[in-house]
Amino acid sequence: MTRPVYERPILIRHQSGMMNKFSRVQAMRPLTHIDGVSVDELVATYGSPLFAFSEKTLVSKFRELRDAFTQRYPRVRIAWSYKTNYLDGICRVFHREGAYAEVVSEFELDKALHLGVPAEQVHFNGPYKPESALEKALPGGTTIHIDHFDELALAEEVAARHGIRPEVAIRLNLSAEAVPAWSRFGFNLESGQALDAVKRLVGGDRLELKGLHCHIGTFILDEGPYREAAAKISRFANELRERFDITLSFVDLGGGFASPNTLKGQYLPGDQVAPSFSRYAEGIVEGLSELDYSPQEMPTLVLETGRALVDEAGYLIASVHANKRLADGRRAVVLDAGVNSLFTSFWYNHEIVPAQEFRGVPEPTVIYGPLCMNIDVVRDTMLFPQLKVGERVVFRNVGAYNVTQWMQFITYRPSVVLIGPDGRHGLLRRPEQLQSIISHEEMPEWL
Amino acid sequence: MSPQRSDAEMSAKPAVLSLFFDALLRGYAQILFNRSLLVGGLLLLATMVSPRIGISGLLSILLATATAKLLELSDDLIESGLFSYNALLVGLGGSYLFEPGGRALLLLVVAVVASVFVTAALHSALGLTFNLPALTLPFLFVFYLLMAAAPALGVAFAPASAEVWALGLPRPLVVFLQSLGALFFLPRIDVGALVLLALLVYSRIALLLAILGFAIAQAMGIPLVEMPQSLMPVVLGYNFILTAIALGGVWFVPSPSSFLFAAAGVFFCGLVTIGLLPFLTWNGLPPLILPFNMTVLMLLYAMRQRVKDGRPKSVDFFMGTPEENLNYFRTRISRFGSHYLARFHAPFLGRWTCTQGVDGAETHQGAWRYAFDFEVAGPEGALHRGRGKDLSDYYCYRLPVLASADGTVAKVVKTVKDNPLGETNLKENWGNLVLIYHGPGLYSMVCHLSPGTSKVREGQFVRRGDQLGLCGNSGRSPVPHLHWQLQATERIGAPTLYAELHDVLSEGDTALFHRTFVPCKGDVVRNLEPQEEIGRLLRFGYGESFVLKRDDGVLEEITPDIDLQGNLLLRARDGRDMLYYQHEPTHFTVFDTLARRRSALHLIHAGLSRLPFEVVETLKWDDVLPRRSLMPWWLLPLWDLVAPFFPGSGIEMCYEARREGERVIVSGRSKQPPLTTEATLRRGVGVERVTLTYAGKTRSVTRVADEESPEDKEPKDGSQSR
Repeated sequence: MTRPVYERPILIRHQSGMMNKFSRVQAMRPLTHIDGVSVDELVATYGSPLFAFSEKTLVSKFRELRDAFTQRYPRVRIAWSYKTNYLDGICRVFHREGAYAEVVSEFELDKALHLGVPAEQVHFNGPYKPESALEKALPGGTTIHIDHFDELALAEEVAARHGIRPEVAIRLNLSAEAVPAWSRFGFNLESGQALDAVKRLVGGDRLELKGLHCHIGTFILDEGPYREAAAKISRFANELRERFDITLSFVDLGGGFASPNTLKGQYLPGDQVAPSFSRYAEGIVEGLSELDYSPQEMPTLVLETGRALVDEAGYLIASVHANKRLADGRRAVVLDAGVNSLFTSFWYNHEIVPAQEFRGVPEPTVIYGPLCMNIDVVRDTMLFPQLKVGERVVFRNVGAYNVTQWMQFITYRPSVVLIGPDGRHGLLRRPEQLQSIISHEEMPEWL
Repeated sequence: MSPQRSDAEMSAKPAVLSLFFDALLRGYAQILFNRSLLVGGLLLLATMVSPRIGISGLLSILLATATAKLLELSDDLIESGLFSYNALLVGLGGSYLFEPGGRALLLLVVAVVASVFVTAALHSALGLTFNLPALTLPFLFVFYLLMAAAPALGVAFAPASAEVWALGLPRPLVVFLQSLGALFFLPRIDVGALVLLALLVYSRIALLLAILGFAIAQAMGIPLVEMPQSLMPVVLGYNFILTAIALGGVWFVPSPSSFLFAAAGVFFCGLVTIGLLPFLTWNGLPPLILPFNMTVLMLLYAMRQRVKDGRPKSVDFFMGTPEENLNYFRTRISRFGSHYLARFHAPFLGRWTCTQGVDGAETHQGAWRYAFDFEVAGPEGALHRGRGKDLSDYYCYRLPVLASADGTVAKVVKTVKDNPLGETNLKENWGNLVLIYHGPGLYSMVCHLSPGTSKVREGQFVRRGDQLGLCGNSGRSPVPHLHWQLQATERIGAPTLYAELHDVLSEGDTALFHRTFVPCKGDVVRNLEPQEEIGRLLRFGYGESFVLKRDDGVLEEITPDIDLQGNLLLRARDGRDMLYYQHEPTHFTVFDTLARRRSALHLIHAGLSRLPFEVVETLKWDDVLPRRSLMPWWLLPLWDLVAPFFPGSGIEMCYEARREGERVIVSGRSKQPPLTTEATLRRGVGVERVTLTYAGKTRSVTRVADEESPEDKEPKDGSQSR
C-alpha cells in the first residue's frame, strides 16, 4: 500500500479563459520518452544536462518541406543551412535525404567538404568570403552568392588566376511587404544596384551568372513577403533574360521559415502562428509564376532552410538543482542548464515540460540557469508545476542555433545525442572536459 | 524512340563490285532468312556439288543483279539479296529441269530477267498493301509459267538424276538431308549435309526448329520424298522445315510459345500440302515451295490482327538471326517495356501515392482496368490533414497536374464542379479532363481536375511537364484524386490501353529507378529530379575523341558519332565496334553494343548501362545485361539451343551511385552469377575508369589523360595494339 503523496498548499490568482499569455498550461503533459527512449535512460547514459535530437523528426520535417515544394514546383533543391546546426551527424541525416549544403564561412565550407559533400552541392553565402575561401570554393565548383562589388572583383581575380569560369549567383536585397530590406547584405534591387552588379559581372566576362539569391529575413510568420520577393526576383530574372540573354539555372529564396517556437513578445503560441510549409510553398510558387520561362527550363528553386527543419527535432534535458521562493512571491527553479547552453532563450519563450508525472497545481515560476550572472534566465515567469530536486525537465524545439551559438562559459558544454528511428541512441558530440578546453591553451615561456 | 541496330553497312562502299559480291552471297543466304556472307558462301559451295546446276544458279544471280542495277532498282534492295534469291531458284530449277541446249538457255535467261520484274512488283505490292514479305512467291510465279511454257516452246524436260547414297544412314536422316538439299534442287545427302552446316552456322535455334518441323511432318505421314515417274521428284520436306524456322524464330521471337506456334504452322502447312497435291498433280505441276509461302503469308497476316502482340511476340525490329532476335528482344523488353511510341512520365510533381492500380477494387475494371489513381500522403501517411472534412484538407487537392508526354491536346473539359466530399457525379463521370494525342491510336487522359484550372486549349501542342490543370474532385470522384490512363481513341470513356509509366522512381526506404513501372496500390511514385552536373559527366561531344587503355595494354580511341538516323553512338577502333546510347534530360541509357569480344565498349555498356542523373544514397536501379557478350565463345552454341526456354537469359544487375569529391562512382552487382562492375566518372573528364569482374576475372579500361596522349591521333587506334 502506498501512501498518498503530500501536496503543499499554494495560493494562485484565478486566470479565466482558454488562452492567456502563459499559453495553454492546462495541456501540459510530461514528456517521459523521446521516440520511445526514456529520458531517464538518456540521462543515466549521458548525464545531465543533455541535448537530444530525434532522427525521425529530422527526416520527417525534411520530407514535409521537400514534398510541399516538389509537389508544386518542378525543380527544388533544399540546401541545409549549416549555421543552424552543423554537427556532422545532423548534417549527415539531411545529406542522406538529398540536401545540398548552404554555408556562410570558410569554416562551414571546410566542414561540408570534410563531410564528403561534393563541392558543387554547396551554396556559399555571407558577406565575408576572404581570398582564401574563394581560392577553395571557386576552383572546386562551389556556387558563391556574391554579396558586394569588392567580392565580385576578387572572384574575378581568382577565376582569372585559375583560368576558370565559375558559375555564381548574386545576392539581392529587396523590401517585401512589411519586411524591411536587410540592406546590409547583397545588392539592392529597387535602387538599381542589383542591375549594376549584373552589368558589371557581364562586362567583366569572367563569371557565369547562374542564379539569384535573396534572403528576406528570419522567422517570417507569413507567406506574403515570400510571394512578393519571388515575384520581384522573377521580374528581375525576366529583365536579365531580355537584356543580357541570361537564363538562370536557380533562384534561391533563402531561409527564414518559422519554427513552432514562440518569440518573446508574440501573443499567440508559435505552433498556432507558424505557417505550414505548404503555405510558404504556395506563396513562393505563385510569385515565381511571373517568370517568363517554359516549364522545361524553369530554374531550380533553392531553399536554405535551417531552423524550420531542425528546431522541432532538438530537446534539451535538464535537471532541477534547487527550488527557491523569490521576494515577490514567485517561485524560482535553478536548473543545471542555462543561457550558456540554451542561447535561443534570449529570443524565445521556450516550451518546457517536466520529464516525469507530476501533481499539483502549476504556479508562476521563473526558471534560472546555473550561471552566476543576472542574465541567466532561461524562461521568464510561466505556470509550472512544482518539481523536486533531481527531477528533470525537457525544453522542446531547441534544435536550431543552440549547438552552434552555445557558450563555453564557466562550465563545460554538455553531450549531444541522436536518437535513431529504432530506439538506438548515440553521441553526436562528446561532453567537454577540462582537456577539451585547455588543449588549445598555451603557456608563454616566460611565465 | 527506337533503338536502331544496324550491322556494318556504314563502312560499305556502294562500289559495284562489292554490290555484286554482297548480292551474290546474300542471295544464297536469304533462302535461309539470313544476311550472313559466310552462310551464303557455304550454300554456294553446296550448290557446286553439281557444277552445272551450281554455275547456272550463280550466273542467274549475276544476271539478275545486273538487270536490277540496269533498271536502277534500289541498291539497298539489290544488296540485301532480294532479287538474287528468286533468280537463284529460277536458275537452279531451270537447269535442273531442262535438257541443256540453246533454247533452254535462252528461256532461262528470259525467266531470270522476268523474275527481277516480278520480284520488284510483288515485293512492293505485298509490302505496301499488306506489309508482308514476298518470300519466294516471285520464283513460284515465274517457275510455274516457265514449266507451262517450256513444252510449247520446244524445250524438253530432262530432270537431272538425283542419285542417293544412303551410306547406311537411318531413313529419317536421309530424308531430312534430302529435303535440305532439295531447297537448291539437289535432293542429295552431300548437299543436304552442307546446307545443314550452313544452318548450324546461321542459327542453332533455327536448326532445332528445322528438326521440329521435319518431325511433325513425318508424324503426319506426309510423303516427304517421292521419286515417282512424273516430271520431278516430289520433295516436300523443306516446306515444313522453312515454315518452322520462319514462324518459330525469324518473324517471331524464339520462345516456348513461338515453338508451339511453329508446330501449329507446320501442321497447317501439312494440311495445305495434302489439299494442294491433287490439284497440282492433276495439272502435272510439282508443289515446290508453294505450301510454305501460303502458310507463312496467311499466318503472318493472321497474327497481325491480334490486339496484343504478346505470345508469340512478333519481331517488330530490325530482323536478325533467331538468336539475335531473342537476345535483342529480351534485353529490350526487360529494359524498356512495351510502349515505344511515347514515353510517359508521372503526370505530377513530387511524390504521389497510387491509391488504385490496374484491376483496382473500386472502378478500374473491365474495359477500364488499365488506369491509375494517385493521391498525396502526408507525413504520417494519411491522405488528408486533420480529420479531412474539407476538400482542401486533402494534400493532393489543387496540386498541379502535368502532361505525361509530348502531344497535342485533343479534348478539354473544364466546367464540371468539384463534388463535395463523399459525393460523386455519375452524369459527368470523368469530370474535368484533358485528353492528349500522342500518336496514332495512343491518347493519354488525366481527369477529375478542378474546374477552370485548365489553361490548355484543344489543338495546342504541349510538352511533357507542361501544366494541364490542378487536381480536383469533379466527376465520379468522392475524394480528390488524379486519374491517369491511356486509350486508343478520342472518345471520352473509351476502353483503356495497357499502360505503364517510364523513367520514374518508386520510393520506400530505398528509391528504385524504373525504366518502366506499373504502379500498384500503395506505391509512392515520382519523376527523376536530375542534377545537371551528373548529366554533364556523360555528355560525349561530337568529334571529341578520347582514349581508353585496356588492361591488356591495347589503346582504344573512342569517337562519339551520330548515325544517319540520328542515333548517338560511340565508335571504337576502326569504327566497327559500336555502342548505341541515348542522353536524355534525366538519364543516360546504353541501348546496344555491337562490338568484338574484347572491346572496351562492352565494359562501358556493362558499367554504365543506365545512369539516372540523380545521385543520392538511397537511389538504386535494376538493369539487364546481355549474357551472350560475357559468355566464353565455346559455350555459345549450347546456350543458344536452350535460351528460348529460359525466360531470364540476361544478367540482372542492380546499380547504385555515390559521389566522392569530384567523382561519381557507379557500381553494379548481379544477383546470380558473380558479376560486378564499377565505373568512375570524373568532373571535367567523363569516363575515367571502368572495371568488370566476371567469374573471378577482372577486366578494366582506364582513361588516358589528354596530355599523355600524343598530338597525332592516327597511331592511337587499334592498329597500334600489340
